Amino acid sequence: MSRRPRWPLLSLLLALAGVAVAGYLTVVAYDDALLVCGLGDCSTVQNSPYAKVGGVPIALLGLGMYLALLGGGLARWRWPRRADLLTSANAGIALAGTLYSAYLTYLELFVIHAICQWCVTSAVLVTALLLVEGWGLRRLLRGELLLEADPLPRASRRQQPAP
Amino acid sequence: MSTSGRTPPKAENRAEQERLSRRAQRKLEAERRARQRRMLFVAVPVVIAVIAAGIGIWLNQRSAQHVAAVQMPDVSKYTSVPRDGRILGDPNAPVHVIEWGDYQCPACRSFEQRFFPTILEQYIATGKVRWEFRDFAFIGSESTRAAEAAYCALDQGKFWEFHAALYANQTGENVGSFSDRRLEEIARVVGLDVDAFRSCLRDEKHADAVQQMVREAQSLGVRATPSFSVNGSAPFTISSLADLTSRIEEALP
Repeated sequence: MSRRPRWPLLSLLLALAGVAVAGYLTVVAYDDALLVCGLGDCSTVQNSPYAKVGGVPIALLGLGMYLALLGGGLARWRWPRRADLLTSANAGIALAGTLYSAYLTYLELFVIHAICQWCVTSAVLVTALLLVEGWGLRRLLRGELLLEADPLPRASRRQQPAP
Repeated sequence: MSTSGRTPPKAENRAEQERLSRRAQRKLEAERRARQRRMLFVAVPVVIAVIAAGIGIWLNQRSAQHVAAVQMPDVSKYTSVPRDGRILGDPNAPVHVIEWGDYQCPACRSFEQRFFPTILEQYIATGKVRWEFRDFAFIGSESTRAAEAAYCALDQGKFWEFHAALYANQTGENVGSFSDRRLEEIARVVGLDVDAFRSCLRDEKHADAVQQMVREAQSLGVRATPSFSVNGSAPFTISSLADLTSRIEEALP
């Protein structure tokens, strides 16, 4: 029985958690019934002018990023022959997300003076995704196989018609 | 024994070595290309990610630091009710509501613009509620300067006009919405004596009073804005207008 690496699965789980967190923050960003400003409050952070890029809430951009990472992870699982390209793309997206999250955390601490725990959670998730995808890239650089096993079960392969 | 038709052993070995050498070279070349390809899989996303994050940060800074021109909101709602300094409404009204706010807080602006007109119309104009605004400036130095500026406007009898104008010109936290220069522009559109306002602000005439108000709010338990107190109750925050009106209704005789 071949050993299947765990890191692609970990990446999928982290991306899924990211979709949930960014989805919640997107809902908050579009909720105009904001009625409390306080430290540790996501509404203060989300209603800051820094919470948008070109009129688009950053939470929505974050949701798009996690969906892309999730899609990349699923595609890698489905088409292992493209794992190198998909890992490269996912690592790039996670790196951009981590850099931007570092900037947003700086804004929260030193400019907006409000810490949003869900924004911090998202920053931790995207950093973890970068580490996991970076691990994949390290394997790629060493010339190791990214996914040892074909994800298709043997039974389904047998069922495929012979050419 | 004839050796015709056969390559001499030495020549055969040489040909074999050349073949092996070519094969080894091809192998090395293939490995080199594979290594380059793998390097590209790392370098390209890193470069693209750094450029993308840089562009995102630049766009974000540019849009956040754009401070719009000063506007004067409609303040007619304040002129129809009795007022005394930072208190609105009948001084003998049975219910006394205190609101603690920060002029940089988007929730305070939201409350002021979306819900306060209803409170004003249903409770303050009808003589049921006496409404007092107090400062809980905690978001940053511009919160404190805005609170001091509102105090300077109070000196000129236009606290509520200035109060509404501050919220109308709020563009974000600590991004220059309430720089001294912009506060002067707000004072101008409100119709204050700008020279008197400028010296009041420059001399920090009300800085101690604002700090005192913030300390007092903290000691009462205010931790977020807007917070409210109805007839001396412990401060509370709200998640809907009904949260506040129900407390007022309960306090009415």
